[in-house]
Amino acid sequence: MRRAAARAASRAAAALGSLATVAGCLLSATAGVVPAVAAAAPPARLLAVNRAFDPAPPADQPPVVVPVPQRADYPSGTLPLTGLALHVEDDAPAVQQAGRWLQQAIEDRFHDRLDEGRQAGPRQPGANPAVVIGTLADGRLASQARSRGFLATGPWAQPEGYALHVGPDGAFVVGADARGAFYGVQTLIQLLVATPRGPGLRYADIADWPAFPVRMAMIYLDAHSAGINDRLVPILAHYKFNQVLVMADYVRWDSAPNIWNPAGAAKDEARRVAGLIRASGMEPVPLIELLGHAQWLFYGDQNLDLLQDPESPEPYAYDPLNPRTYDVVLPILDEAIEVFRPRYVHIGHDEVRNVVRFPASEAGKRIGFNRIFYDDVLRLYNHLKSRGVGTMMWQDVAFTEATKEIVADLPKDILFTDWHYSPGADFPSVREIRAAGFDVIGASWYRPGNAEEFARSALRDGALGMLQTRWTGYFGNSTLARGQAEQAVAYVRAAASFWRPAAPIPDERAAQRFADAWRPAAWRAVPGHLVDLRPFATRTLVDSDGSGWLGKGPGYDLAPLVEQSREGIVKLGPYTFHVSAAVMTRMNRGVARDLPDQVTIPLHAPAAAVAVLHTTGWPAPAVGQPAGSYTLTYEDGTTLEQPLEYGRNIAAWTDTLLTSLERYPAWRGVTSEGLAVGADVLEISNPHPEKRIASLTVTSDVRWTNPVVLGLTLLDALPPRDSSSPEAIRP
Amino acid sequence: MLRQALRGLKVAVLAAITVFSTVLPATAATQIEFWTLSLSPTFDKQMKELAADFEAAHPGVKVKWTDVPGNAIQQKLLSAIAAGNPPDAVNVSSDMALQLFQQGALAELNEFAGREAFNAYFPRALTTFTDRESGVIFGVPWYWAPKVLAYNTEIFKQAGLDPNRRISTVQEMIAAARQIKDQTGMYGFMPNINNISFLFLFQEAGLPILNAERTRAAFNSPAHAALVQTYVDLFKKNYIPEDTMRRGYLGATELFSAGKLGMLLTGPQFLIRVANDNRAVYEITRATAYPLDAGRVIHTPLMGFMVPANARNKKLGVEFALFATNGANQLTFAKSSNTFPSTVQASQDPFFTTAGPTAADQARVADAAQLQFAQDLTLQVPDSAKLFKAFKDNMEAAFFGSKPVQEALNEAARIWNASL
Repeated sequence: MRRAAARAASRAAAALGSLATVAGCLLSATAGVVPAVAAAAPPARLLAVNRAFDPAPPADQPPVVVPVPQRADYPSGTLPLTGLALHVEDDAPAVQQAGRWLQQAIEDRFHDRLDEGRQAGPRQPGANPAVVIGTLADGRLASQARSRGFLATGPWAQPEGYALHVGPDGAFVVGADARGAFYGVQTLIQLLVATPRGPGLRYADIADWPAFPVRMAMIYLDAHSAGINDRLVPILAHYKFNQVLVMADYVRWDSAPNIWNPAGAAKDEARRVAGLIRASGMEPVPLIELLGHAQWLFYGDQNLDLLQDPESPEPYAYDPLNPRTYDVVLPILDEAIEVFRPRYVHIGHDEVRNVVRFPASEAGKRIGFNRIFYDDVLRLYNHLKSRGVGTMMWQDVAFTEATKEIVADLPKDILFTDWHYSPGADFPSVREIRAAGFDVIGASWYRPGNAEEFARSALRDGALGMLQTRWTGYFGNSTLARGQAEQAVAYVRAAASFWRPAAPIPDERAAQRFADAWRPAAWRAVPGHLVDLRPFATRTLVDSDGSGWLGKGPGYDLAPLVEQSREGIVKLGPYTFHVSAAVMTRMNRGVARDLPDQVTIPLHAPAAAVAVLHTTGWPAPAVGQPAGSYTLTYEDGTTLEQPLEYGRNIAAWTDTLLTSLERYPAWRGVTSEGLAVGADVLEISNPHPEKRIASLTVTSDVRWTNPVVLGLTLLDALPPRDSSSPEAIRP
Repeated sequence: MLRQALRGLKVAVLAAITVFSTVLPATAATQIEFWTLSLSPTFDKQMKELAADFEAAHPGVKVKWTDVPGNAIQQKLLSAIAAGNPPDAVNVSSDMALQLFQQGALAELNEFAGREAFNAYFPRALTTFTDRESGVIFGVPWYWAPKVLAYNTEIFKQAGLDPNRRISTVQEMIAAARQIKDQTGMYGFMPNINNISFLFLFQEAGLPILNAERTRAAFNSPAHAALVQTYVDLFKKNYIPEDTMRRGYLGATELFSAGKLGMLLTGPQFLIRVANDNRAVYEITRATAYPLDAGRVIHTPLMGFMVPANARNKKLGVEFALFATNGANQLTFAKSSNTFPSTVQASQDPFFTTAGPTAADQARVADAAQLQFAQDLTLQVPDSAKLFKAFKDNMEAAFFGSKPVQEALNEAARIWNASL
């Protein structure tokens, strides 16, 4: 992967943000005529269920904690929340924060809170059990942990480690330090469960600690990023990242008002985000892209005298031989230090020669690239060091075969971030950088297997940590939620592997976790009706002889979805569907050529929301292309149309990466041939729940791809999401 | 990766095409814009002359030229199309042209020009920009150049290789690369193995990509796996630099220019960059024909001119594309860029077979002899963006040890089979 390409995608997606918004207008009620078929055909068979939507994890299965703890035992049983008290036994901000987050999680899920107080002494027989949170510094808690077998000499008693116990006598989280207590509570939150007898905490005994001391995630900072970052940063903390790399190129620095970009973040916003990161128990590290990728330095055709290649149309790199370069750059670094108060500043220095001639000048050619590069790094390093701040930089230019000899002389306390964006069992560059005397952090991106495998090899090779990069979202941060959400999902996968490389989690689990965190719902079940699609089916799901599904035979069908169902009924994420056959519409391709452009499913039922389990037969050539629509026709003749936009709210059964949070990653499977497949849910809120819905019509765009409905469920009430509150987005 | 990363970008292309697609007659105030790919500043003079010549031939028309760096073209073009303000003609590579065509983003050139307008091009070049199902021509060929084998004669000597002995097979080239590394510690080559290059290497080796009916992938046979394994083994044994998969020809050119790479497998136009970066290395460089493999074909990336479907002046855009790629203009450009024209007549100019003292001269003459084997081997398959990415991802997984070669090829084949 080229980072430049990823950056390009980010910028372009931002450029398209406004159009995407227009195209994304959801429902618009229009008067229409009830299709004849809906009026005439008998209604579909509806199966009433009590839990058509139920976001609570199944109480009868073991808990799934992410990141997977190093050592965990889950005895059978649940500690009821009723009557449970909360004792936060440490005044450290991280521990206090942990207590607040636990209370908030309970309130979000159950609309309840624990009684708070301090533990007055040893628990008395008959007293109500409590959740106690503290650190090993508290002798009483250390003793309590020891009594459960968590010795202070155990591996959990290292920085950021914790011990956790939940049993009939109560629960405790003992951190080896304050951060450890915070992480223990993040695990405790994931032990919350809704049982038929009420909410509780699953019994557990956990000793846990991170494999890497540095677990970093990258975010963007601009004038529009607050909405995303305010949601995202707590999620990163919940999944136990401890540092955040903040892309800060376009911050409106006081020292450089001539390059202020209106879409760049105000300095106060940068300060606020740095505070948010710290308040969430993490450290901010600003990334200021220098030498290459330095377009920000030339914004508005400013500083053109500093261009490395003045003849190139692309203002990409600066000229270190021009002394004025540092008159501009160094004050910006000073401001970044003042705002972020970081231990390190990341100075970029990647892909320096990828775009323009470098060196371009005759003077530069005489000196040579290696020397120019070295001197620039050293100049910036010395400046940062004089301010008590370390230097972090990418490895790809410093450690090429053509240049690596020169890095031998660089100061050894430079911290290299070594990016490789493919899955891979072995990345020798980590060893090479360490052999040269530097510390190194591996850097991964979104592809499944990348963070997971890199973390394993990086741990083996002695890396200090891992960085999960993200290359989307500048100047239009909505791409993280819509268009390139796979990069958001990857945060969760990476978090799991950075904490415990030996226990990666599958992409589908990460996708559901991120989607659930992005749109959290209270744990209240919603009743509804499952629609039996068989009378309207146009294709079978199973293709045992080349005549079903897409006509490609066994191994290229949805048999694994059918196998997962019981008598056609299957719970996928929070949704339950009757899955029996496919309502596939036409496109000019393969078996779909002869299918109907439109299929109407008569319903004659009320619903507050409609959940559609769907996919397309083939991918559209590009994200954003129209796939068709769903039309709800009410019994009074009015209609409501839901446009389907490829990648945004529908995707092909073979496109299993979640690119948009507007569709829920309900099901992922593998065919008998080994093909990864899936289907997502689009939830359509009904703005007129008082009207009975006569029918749902599936219409294909025909040109680019074709919608296929696999399941349809009518919800009696809207899922209990509190999307109105800015506090709603929480782990 | 490029295509994958740009998915978010393509969001509104189609809508924009629908809204903005118009054909305007040339008026006194008509201005058209054409974009080229990574030609500035080296070819500023030629492009400005091209624009001026077109203006002279089309009174009342002003031509604006914009050059876009290679790593930015897709982003800028898709953004411009989505915004309804694309150039009237644009120079892109064959694989990007195919994807744009599949998205419905390109004009059908044969709507604006008769068949005879396309007769000047090599048929196998025009085929690259012709939809194999519908026959629609979505671009016109421009320049290309079969890759050559350039080598550093001093490194050859240090490795005990005879710089006067021509390397004539791929196997000899690999053996030479090993010998260079073993004897000098420097790398022998950075082969073209990144991205989807194996789809081309397979064809160069005479191995099929699809079955005869084009309904299933055929690139996961033991022979295909063995070819990939050859390079994976070289990579794992450190005969290929670690950043080869990441940096491709850019990294190779840099390393060769630094005097630290034995052989450079590249189009002859990149020797100009070597000359610019390090004259001393250039002067000890020789070039020879790239060795033919069993397929008797050399993948030769073909540049072309397209016209966006929602260009404001499509007719003029098509006229410009045909003008820029006519025989005379192609010949002028090829002479200055050390590339070859894609028109039959211009390719027969004596310039291309006239020997000279420099590595660039040697490369040109070698290429002239190889031109008969040149073909852009970019495959026209449905869902090309997805399928190419699946192939690339799996090749990288094999090289970085994430999965065995055969498993990687099987995985890619499964994804292709679901679409074919």
